[in-house]
Amino acid sequence: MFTLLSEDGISFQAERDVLERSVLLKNMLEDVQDSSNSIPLPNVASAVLEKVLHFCEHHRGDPLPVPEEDETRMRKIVIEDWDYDFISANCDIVFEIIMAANYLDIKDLLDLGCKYVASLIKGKSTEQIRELFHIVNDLTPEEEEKIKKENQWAEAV
Amino acid sequence: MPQISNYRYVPLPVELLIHIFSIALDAYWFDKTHPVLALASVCAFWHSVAIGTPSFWQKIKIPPSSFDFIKLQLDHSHQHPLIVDVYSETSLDGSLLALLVEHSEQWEEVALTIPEPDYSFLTSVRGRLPRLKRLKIDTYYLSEAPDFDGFEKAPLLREVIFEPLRDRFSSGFPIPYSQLTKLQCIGCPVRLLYPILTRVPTLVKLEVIAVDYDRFEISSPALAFPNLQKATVMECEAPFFYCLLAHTPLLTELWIYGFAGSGRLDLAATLTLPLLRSLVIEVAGFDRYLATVICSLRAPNLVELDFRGDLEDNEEEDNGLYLRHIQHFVQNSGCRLQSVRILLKAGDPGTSLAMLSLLGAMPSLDHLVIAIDYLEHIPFSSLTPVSSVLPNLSTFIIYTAEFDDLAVLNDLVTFAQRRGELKMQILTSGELRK
Repeated sequence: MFTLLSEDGISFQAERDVLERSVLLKNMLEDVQDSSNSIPLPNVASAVLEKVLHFCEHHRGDPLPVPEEDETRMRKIVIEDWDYDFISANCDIVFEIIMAANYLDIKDLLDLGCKYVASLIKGKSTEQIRELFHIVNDLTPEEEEKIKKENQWAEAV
Repeated sequence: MPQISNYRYVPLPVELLIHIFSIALDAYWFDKTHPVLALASVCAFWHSVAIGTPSFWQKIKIPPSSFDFIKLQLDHSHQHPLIVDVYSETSLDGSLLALLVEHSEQWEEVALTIPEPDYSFLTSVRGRLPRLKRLKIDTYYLSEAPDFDGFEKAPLLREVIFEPLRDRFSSGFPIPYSQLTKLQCIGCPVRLLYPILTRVPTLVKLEVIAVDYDRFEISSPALAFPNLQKATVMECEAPFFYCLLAHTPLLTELWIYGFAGSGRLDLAATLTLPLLRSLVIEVAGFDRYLATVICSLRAPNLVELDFRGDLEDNEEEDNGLYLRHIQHFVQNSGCRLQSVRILLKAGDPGTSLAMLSLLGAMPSLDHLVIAIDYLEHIPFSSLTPVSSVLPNLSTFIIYTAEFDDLAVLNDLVTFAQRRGELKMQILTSGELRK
């Protein structure tokens, strides 16, 4: 067992094959024989790390995503049932999960988070997207007017 | 659906936001705002990412986009490859076409449905198609052969779609046929298609739809598809089907969708496809040629079979007929099928018996999917003991539109229990999914 230390000082224990879902941790563990020292993860909060480890635990033993996988297929929004339940149950921290997956280099979790957010964005109006993610509109009136005009060009015929 | 207020947005790095936008933009948007502009309007950061990513501007569709918007897209796309789709029954604004042609070096995929006068603009692309990979030409609205020039030199062009190919274009379009690997031709007489087929020796995938044989005398030795691996033959006349497939020694995947034509079909010999591994047979309504063709085929290395019988209620007995012909095909081929998928929209006792007989003829089966409107039409009880009928079956999936017979469910449970390692799924819905 190895110990991970979150940015807020909480320890988590996990076995090697679970941690090796992360390319970053896999590379670190290659040089670590002594599991008594904890591995600090200064960019990942405990609430997020707990969910990340839950995901890795569930997918332990699964084949790792192939890097040269077809780009078109990667972009299709198809999410397995367990993965959808997992990510939607943690939707409040989905952006933190994406950030953590990116930092730890966990490709399937990163892909899951991005697909989930893309599925939320898809087909929504600007206002709906702002409301969904509580994003403040900091565009200037001139920029907004320019976009409005460009959109008229898009449907001119 | 989670509550909207649950989402706690954290600004993501640019590369992650681009990845998310790419996935979202790949899907269809119903909102009236242009999708990239909808994203660009959210906030200043999203605006900079949406406007500053050339790939988001690569899809040019006319109509509805105007000259100004196309100009905007071309400006934002920088040198990124373009996917151009133009569909107009009437002549387009010349300045719009000139603008597109000016950027022909960026064209990667082009689909054209334009009237004759507009083709003259394309001539000026000559020698400036370094990225073109896919070309689709719809000639439906053309009354005369257009002045179509400038596509002879497209070093990366591999895929061409003609939809449809008509008499007036008998000379063919001047494109580099000898380098094509994918060709799709829809709605044409074989005498027009034949000269093209003799010029595509590197073809890997061929789709021919509604090809009229029209008593054309094909000189078989001139046809050769030494590399063809995938073929789709839909609603063509049966003699053309035989002539075509007789020259495909490496064919591994074949999709047949019904046959067209009239009169008697005399088959002197069987057609053997030595490397065929996957076969899809689809039929809508009664098709007397299909049954004949199925019986004459031989595919000794076939491992995947997919039969989709979309027959009306008053043609129920034809399901059984087709299944019996498939059984003969399987037995005569001597193939060891591993995966079979059967979709039937109608069934009757005759179909059930034919299904049972067919399953009995496929002892090597590992994966079986049956989709049928009414589950009671399948005689599961007759399949037991499954260990002797289907000794290798590991997965059995049933799709059904209606499922209200408990006796059938008990039958299925019994069926599954006798095979400890059998994975069985029963999925119901109001409508069968193909």
